[in-house]
Amino acid sequence: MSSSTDTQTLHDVANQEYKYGFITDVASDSLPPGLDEGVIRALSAIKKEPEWLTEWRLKAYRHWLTMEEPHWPKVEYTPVDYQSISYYSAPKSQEDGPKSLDEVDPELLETYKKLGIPLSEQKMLSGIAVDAVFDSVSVATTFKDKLGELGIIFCSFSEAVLEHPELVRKYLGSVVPYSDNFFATLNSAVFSDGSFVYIPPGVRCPMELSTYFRINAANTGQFERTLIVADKGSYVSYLEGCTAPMRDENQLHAAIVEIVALEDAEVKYSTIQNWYPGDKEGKGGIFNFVTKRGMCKGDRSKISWTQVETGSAITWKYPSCILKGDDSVGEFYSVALTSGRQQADTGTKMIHIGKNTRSTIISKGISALNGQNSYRGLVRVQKGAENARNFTQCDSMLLGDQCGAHTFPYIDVRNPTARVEHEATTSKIGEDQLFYCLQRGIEMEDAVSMIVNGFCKEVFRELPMEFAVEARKLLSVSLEGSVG
Amino acid sequence: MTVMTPELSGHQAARDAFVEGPGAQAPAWLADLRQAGWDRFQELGFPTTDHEDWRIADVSPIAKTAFTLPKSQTAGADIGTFDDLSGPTLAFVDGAFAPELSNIGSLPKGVLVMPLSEAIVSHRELVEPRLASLAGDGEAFTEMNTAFLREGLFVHVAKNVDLPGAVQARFLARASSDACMTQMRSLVVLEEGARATVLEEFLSEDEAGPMFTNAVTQYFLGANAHGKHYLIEREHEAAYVVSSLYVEQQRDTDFASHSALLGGAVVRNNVFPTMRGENCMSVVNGMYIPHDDQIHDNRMLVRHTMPNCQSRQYYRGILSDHAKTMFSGRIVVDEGAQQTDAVQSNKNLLLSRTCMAQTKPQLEIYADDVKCTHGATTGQIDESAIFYFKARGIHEADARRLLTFAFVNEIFERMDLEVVRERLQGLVADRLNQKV
Repeated sequence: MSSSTDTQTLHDVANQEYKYGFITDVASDSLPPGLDEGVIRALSAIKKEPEWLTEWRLKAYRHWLTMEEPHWPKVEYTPVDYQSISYYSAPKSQEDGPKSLDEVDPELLETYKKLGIPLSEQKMLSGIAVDAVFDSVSVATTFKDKLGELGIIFCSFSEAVLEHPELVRKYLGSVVPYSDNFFATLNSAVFSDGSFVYIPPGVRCPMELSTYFRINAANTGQFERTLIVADKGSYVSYLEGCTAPMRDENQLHAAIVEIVALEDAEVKYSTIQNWYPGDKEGKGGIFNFVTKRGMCKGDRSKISWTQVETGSAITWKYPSCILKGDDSVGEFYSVALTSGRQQADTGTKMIHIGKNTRSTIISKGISALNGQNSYRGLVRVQKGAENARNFTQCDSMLLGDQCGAHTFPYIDVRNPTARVEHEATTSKIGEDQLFYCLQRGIEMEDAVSMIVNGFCKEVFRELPMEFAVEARKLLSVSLEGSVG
Repeated sequence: MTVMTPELSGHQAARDAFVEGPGAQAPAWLADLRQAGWDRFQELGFPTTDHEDWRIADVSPIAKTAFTLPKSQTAGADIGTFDDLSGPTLAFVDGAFAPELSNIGSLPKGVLVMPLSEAIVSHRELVEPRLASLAGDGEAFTEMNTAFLREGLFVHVAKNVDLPGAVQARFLARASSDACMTQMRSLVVLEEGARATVLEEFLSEDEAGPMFTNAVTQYFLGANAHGKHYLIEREHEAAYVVSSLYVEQQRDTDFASHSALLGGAVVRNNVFPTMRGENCMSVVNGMYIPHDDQIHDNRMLVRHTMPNCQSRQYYRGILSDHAKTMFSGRIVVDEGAQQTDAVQSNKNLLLSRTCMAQTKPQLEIYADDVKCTHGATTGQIDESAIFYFKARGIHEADARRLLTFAFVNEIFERMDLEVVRERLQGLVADRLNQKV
């Protein structure tokens, strides 16, 4: 590990271009930049939304005007000009919507091909139903019929608003209220589209549901809204993964994910996030300010979040669980990698309300080059949460002497029967482990990738198989040459 | 000019009384230092519970009460000295030095022990730059303390001198019908290779009225120095207390801070060690045993600025009744502070259904070749351990008592002054025996 190879490998990684940076030229139907009540009404009208939803958006917008942008996280960024964002952008050909793949814009299909989304025959092989979101409107939904037989609803949010208004109205904002936080409130006012999932009682969803989000048209913030409702005794595993094209201006992504799990239901939500992290000076990356929250509403329900965060200039999100039902379980598994100039302030909140609730938090942070990685988490045990149990482990690994790793856990216990444990370690990649590998003829890069993958194993184990493979690959690619 | 809030104007009267009364006849440099502190305090104002660092310790009663400066009366005061502890004792009653209750005795050559008010006059060169070094650190209560800077403990140990035993500073608040405040500032300077132990104990007469104690201690360790500090907080349970210990460590120094919080209504104890040279060791060892409606808030900020330093922080708390506690510990490892080895641990034992423990063990690391760990637990006594005792014929109540006491024993074991440890163990046992 001479310093010259250090420098060389650092150069290599610094000069590495973002591999998924391409722009698809599709005529977009956008609202002009800016935000006022008119824009929200127009947006709502384009989407043919019912009156109650328009009012709900306006209520959120009015509340948003009274809020201040928070600055407590350990991230630095140039302020976002909310008036320069276009709040709606949809690919053309909206009149009837495509009936089959043939009707879909070939350029769109080309984009999906590059992303590796199995939209045509591949979907059969991989067994994944894809609700692909291209910019803000769902273009194609697959496997709908098969899911329909079981009574599962898996569609775009706008479609759900029109076809299942009673479900949407009942659960929208029930976990993340419109007044929750600055970005969630903004999202509530201007959310464009997203996915809606409803699993009826006692149904076990036979396949992994998956959505690929992709930010495309320039200057378009993405305000996705996902709502997953798992009725009594049901099970669903939901995958979310993202890539985005290269862009010079910072793009804001303020999404909301709401999950409701009723009695005995289980929801597993997995994310791979690989948006454009910006160039070597950190210019142009995505701002990922997301509110994700799940409510274990019924007894014995379970919500599990797994995330692999390798992209974005700034990641700022805390997928959380409200453990309201007795015996409910919350889990959070996370790998966050920051390289280049990336900053991540991520973690989770576990709010124990019901009796015998349990939560597990496993967080692995990896910092390389000038990356800054923070874990920030809250474990709260309310007065009535008898026998609540929490185990938290957050480990950080540092690769290089310019990066930072920070841990800010908050533990708040108000019930003496609770058992809460927190452990954290921060250390350098093991010299002896590297030496061991090198000595056996394994290349430095492979050795690093192997060790880092081993470090993250506890999290990858939680991912569905297709995702785990992708996550491992992603991590290796992101780490390429960052250690010497 | 900042607009004066009602809170601040209430304290302006005390400040005016101070400037004209006990604070009069100060040398110009000190008057300037105080004024600058007062100006900055007014800018900062009292922290509110909206402030991230003040979520639990609600100091609004301090802000709202117009505290006055106490009139010191020493007749009949019991300062509870550790008689078996060798070394000088300084007594301060209601913020004023009480020579008749103090016993400085004969000191080894090169050791200065005296009240700060005396050192300000006789050893300006040792005192002035160090007192001034806290200016503008952003802590409102430290600035306020500077504004009332006058009295406290002063210790100076010359190069390579070993001061045996411990220097005791005893701060007693007497019974008073008025709401009184004291603002003590202690300064301990160990030159290169010097060794000393300093103990500060805050106590009050039981029937003392509402009061506010704001104490700041500055501890400077020259290269190779070995220093220890003990803080015992035993004021009555209507007292508002803010105590802050600032430690500056040069290379190859060894420092240990021990604290025991038992008294007070709301107690905020800050410990801020900064390692400015290589090869330092810094230990922060503390316990808090709040009951009834007490609030104990421990905040700690350990800064590693240079390579090859070690730090250890151990805090344990036993909560009963409606007690609330906060532990907020942060280790900052600066860029370039390679080979840092830091360990932080906070454990809480909850004995009642109505108490609340919050903990925020935090790491902020900007260097890669480091080993930092932290851990925190909150829970109750392990039922299987109780079962183990019962299986061996030990009554459940005894088993609980033993296990509860054993929970903080680890903290006692690190305290090397035996008389202090024994007295504290007695006090803790008295309190816990009523709770378990």
